[in-house]
Amino acid sequence: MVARVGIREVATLAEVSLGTVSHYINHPARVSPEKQERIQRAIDQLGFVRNNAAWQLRLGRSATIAYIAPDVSNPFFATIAEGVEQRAAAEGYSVFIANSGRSREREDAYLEQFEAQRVQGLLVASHDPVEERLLQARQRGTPSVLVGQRAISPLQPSVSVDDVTGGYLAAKHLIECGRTRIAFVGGPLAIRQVADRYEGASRAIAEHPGVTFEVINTPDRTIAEGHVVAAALAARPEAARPDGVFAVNDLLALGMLQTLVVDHGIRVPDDMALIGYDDIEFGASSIIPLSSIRAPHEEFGIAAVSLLLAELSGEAGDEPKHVVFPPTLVVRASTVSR
Amino acid sequence: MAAASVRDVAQRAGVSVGTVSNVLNRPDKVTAETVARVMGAIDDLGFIRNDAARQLRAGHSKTIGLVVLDVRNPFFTDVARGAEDEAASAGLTVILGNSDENSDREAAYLDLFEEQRVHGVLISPYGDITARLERLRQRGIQAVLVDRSSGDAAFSSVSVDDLAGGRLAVEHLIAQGRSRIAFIGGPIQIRQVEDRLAGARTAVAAHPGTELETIEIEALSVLAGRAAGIEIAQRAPDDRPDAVFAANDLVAMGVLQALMMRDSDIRVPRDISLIGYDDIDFASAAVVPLSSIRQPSALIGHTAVEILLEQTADPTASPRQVVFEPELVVRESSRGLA
Repeated sequence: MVARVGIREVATLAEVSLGTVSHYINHPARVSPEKQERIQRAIDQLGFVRNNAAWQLRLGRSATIAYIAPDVSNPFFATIAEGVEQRAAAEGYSVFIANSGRSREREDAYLEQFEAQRVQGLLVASHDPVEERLLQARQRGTPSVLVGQRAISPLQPSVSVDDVTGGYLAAKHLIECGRTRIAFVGGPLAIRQVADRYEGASRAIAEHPGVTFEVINTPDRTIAEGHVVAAALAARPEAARPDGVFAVNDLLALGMLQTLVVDHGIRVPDDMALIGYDDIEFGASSIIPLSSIRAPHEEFGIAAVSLLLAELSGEAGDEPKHVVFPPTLVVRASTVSR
Repeated sequence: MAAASVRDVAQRAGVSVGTVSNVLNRPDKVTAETVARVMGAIDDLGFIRNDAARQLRAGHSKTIGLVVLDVRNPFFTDVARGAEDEAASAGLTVILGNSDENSDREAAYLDLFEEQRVHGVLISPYGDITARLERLRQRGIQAVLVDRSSGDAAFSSVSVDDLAGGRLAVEHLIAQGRSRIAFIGGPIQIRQVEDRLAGARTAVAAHPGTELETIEIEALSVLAGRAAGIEIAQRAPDDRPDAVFAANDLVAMGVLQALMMRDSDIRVPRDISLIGYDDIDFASAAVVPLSSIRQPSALIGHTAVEILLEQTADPTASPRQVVFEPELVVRESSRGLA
């Protein structure tokens, strides 16, 4: 390996003092244009890279924020990431993305790692209770924004969707389509987002006596899990099947749709109406275009970064710390036949 | 609140600074009683090890940096998942940077990873970064190219034979009786796009009476695919291609959405057959299940990390080029009418 080039070598080659090189790196305006040019030439010539570890030691901070998400392969998260990156880039921040893979252990590892790396702030979406851990990180100097669920603590900024209303809208829509045997597919209910959507759906059901409500608890919320649930429903006698299904996200719904329609010839929506949640971009082009509950994904990421920047600048004072977006119903062919 | 230092921990635990350091770095050298006392003090004070300081001494962090072209493409998140799993089994984590097909952002992430002294870099390159990677290597950071074969064999790479994939896709369309084929993809400077197009050209050249039209789009996204699809749908029927090969599944999904719009009289595959690339999860759940070229995405991630670790353990080892063969997956969108 070549010897590491330090600012000492840069100073020697540029024939300036160490302090001048340091000034040039940290406050270029304080160095005369002539010296700036000499130093830059030396830097280029030597291939000098500021050692960020050393630099961070002094400065304590780097111009990065980290976004930890439980499942980056869900297009929902990727869309939020896009908003995050857009807003962050406009402010000169780079974004590191980490996938906790719905594992508490990995999530902890990333939280610790990013904090130790001294990123400027954290955006965290989680399926676990995470506020306590974020509070500790903040006390040690790394602020954060909770993404996807409303924080309980007034001190913890968060960006979320009103999932109770979302669940209510989904179930109410199925009922208005004349469905009376409704199934809620999703889980585990320990996840806040899932529990809130369930609660909203329950409210709509409670308003309509004569409508039955079944909960099909799933360990996960993936396309593969949707296949499993749909196969189980198809195996039931026809009269025992639900006639309206609210799947707690679009991945589950798309998996179900495929198995119901392609493998079992069940007619959607005639035999079974189906609505998902998140309105990912594949929903509109699915085998039967999928009805869904939509949140403004990109604005979501933008709002999260804005809250974080407010925290970082210490000007968060009067701004609301919890941004809650209202969801909207998107009706397509999976609930209403053309 | 000021961050607690090793000194604070030592004082609280009533031991020397050296003992605290031993507890953190060589716990086997310290009695269990001392470990317990120091850990207790660490908890009390909320001490967090400063990785920046530690990395200065140790040289490298426990993190692999992965730069992808588009975090919204499920292909890349599958690659990331494979990389994470393999990295986790070696006690490493993976952080993602999304270059978003932008050379400035690509360079910024490489800078950040270098400054962080990451364990190694995996990158699906957008621009020409050979010189950049060479410099990383001189600084002891190995890099493996992902989803692109290394032109000069100076770097290890894990890729899929995109030439073969492009040829496979178009030969399949021709075998279904199609002769006016459109390739939709871009920017052409992305190596994967260039190779898939070259493969398509080879197939057309081998079959007299067939022709290839290239429709270049500015990004490999659903949105760009939809715009290209609308353009095709607006042409006079005789001017339309009878088959479309989309450079990836996102583009194909967008084309499909445009062709199947409510007011369109075009049917897929009756009038235009369609094949994508990557075989993402959503391809089989599309309104017309989408034919595609499958790449072993998670395996690509696994293998890339494996090679990176070999290379880091022995920097003198010669670079390895691993090329996987793509596989044709035929579904409804390109089935023949015969």
